[in-house]
Amino acid sequence: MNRRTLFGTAAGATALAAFARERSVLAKSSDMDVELRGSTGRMERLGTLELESQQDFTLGFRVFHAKKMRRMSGMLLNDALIEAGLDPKETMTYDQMLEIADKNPQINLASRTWIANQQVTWKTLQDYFHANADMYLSEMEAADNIGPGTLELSPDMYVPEYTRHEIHIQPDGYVGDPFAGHVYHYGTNSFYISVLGHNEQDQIHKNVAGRLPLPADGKVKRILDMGCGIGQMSAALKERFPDAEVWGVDIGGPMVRYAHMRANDFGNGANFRQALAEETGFPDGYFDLVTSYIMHHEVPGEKTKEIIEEANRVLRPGGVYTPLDFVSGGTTGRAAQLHGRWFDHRWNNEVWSLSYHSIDFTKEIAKRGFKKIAGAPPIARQFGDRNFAKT
Amino acid sequence: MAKLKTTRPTYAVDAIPSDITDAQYLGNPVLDNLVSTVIAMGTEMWATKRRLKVVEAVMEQKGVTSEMIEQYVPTDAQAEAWEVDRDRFIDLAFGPLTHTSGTHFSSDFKKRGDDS
Repeated sequence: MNRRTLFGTAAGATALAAFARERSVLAKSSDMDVELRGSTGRMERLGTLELESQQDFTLGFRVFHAKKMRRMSGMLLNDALIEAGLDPKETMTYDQMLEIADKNPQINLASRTWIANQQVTWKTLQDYFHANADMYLSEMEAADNIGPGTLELSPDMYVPEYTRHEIHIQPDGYVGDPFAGHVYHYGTNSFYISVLGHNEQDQIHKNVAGRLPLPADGKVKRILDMGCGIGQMSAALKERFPDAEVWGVDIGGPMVRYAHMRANDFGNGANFRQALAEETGFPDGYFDLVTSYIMHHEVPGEKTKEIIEEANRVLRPGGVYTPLDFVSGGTTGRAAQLHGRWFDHRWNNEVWSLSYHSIDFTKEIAKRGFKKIAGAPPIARQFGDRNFAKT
Repeated sequence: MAKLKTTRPTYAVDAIPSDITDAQYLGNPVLDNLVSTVIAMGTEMWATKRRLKVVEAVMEQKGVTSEMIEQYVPTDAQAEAWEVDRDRFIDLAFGPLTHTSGTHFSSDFKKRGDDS
């Protein structure tokens, strides 16, 4: 995920920075299973102490940045607006905001340090997995065809241009590097720590999965997780509904390979398929629950509309649709809000985030054969209220 | 970033590179490069300090003294391997100083993803 600056958690960072005290080794899912330094719960330790320590630094810096530098940046922007005779509470455009923000060297320094840290995070991870490619490719090849869950790859499928961007400036993005899943998993841990808290054991995904509303008849036999990435939400859903058939779909071949391998490692039977969210390939009315975890702000607004229609198609009448993503809407706003969005859009390379914010996601769902579930509480504050049932 | 060269199946396709390396934030590309170096240096310095903490803890358990460490002479193979690692460190920390960027500021960057 990206994330929006919500809370800094210095205590959390300190806890993670401490050397792992409780070690375990995950069940061997194949003879080629690579766990060079054991595991902490379901999180395999990185392959070298050096890489682990490099990631420890970039995580710590990210927390520092969220708590100190972005806060400083916000205060300076506020001051600059007042100095320019503008009211920080007034609505403005991106161009108006940038006209002010660009002139402040400390705001720019905050942007630049964040990018440098992000680049080091990705580079050190990708360099490691490339340097040990044969070993890790063998591990994935061995895992591709074993269960408990299944993996469906489509190496010849068309991968649309809109999915090929280097989201979060992750080198080669989600589709272009054989180890995109590995790199994403370890790199995004620091995202969570700096905004939402610990997620090394998928705590955040489990919490969210545990709050999804059920269909009125209570029947949940099949579940779809669209844009599943490395399958953290899919696995959490399988844990909540162990008897259900759970599918995660994602266009990133390396992502679903990693998702499948990882789920197998801890005995989770979620299934994964390389597919677009707008074209999942499942039959009409197949699922009881359809969800997605912060996928929509990474796709064009027009694709979001197609994906809603696909969710409607694959859900049975009365099935529940709960796509989780940020509160959307608006091409203008207060300067502080716009600065945060611009930062994610441009410097975190969330290419489609402004397109996402150009539509009202919740209203688009309501237009397409869904009705809000009365009384179902929002899943999480930052995700808005999008609990719908197919009419 | 370098592409992985392999003949094995990877299920990867060509990505569209980010353009943020063209951005200049601090009014002078040299200053931008220095920021990258400072972050990389911090990364490497902390990795080293953290490793030393592990080494000292293990040594203490095994009865290895500080004097033994001070007197140690690397083998030829070690010296060679350490040189490789030193060069990797230098490339990570100081490589950014060789980056050449445009003269753009953030407001010169166009909004992306406009599919309307």
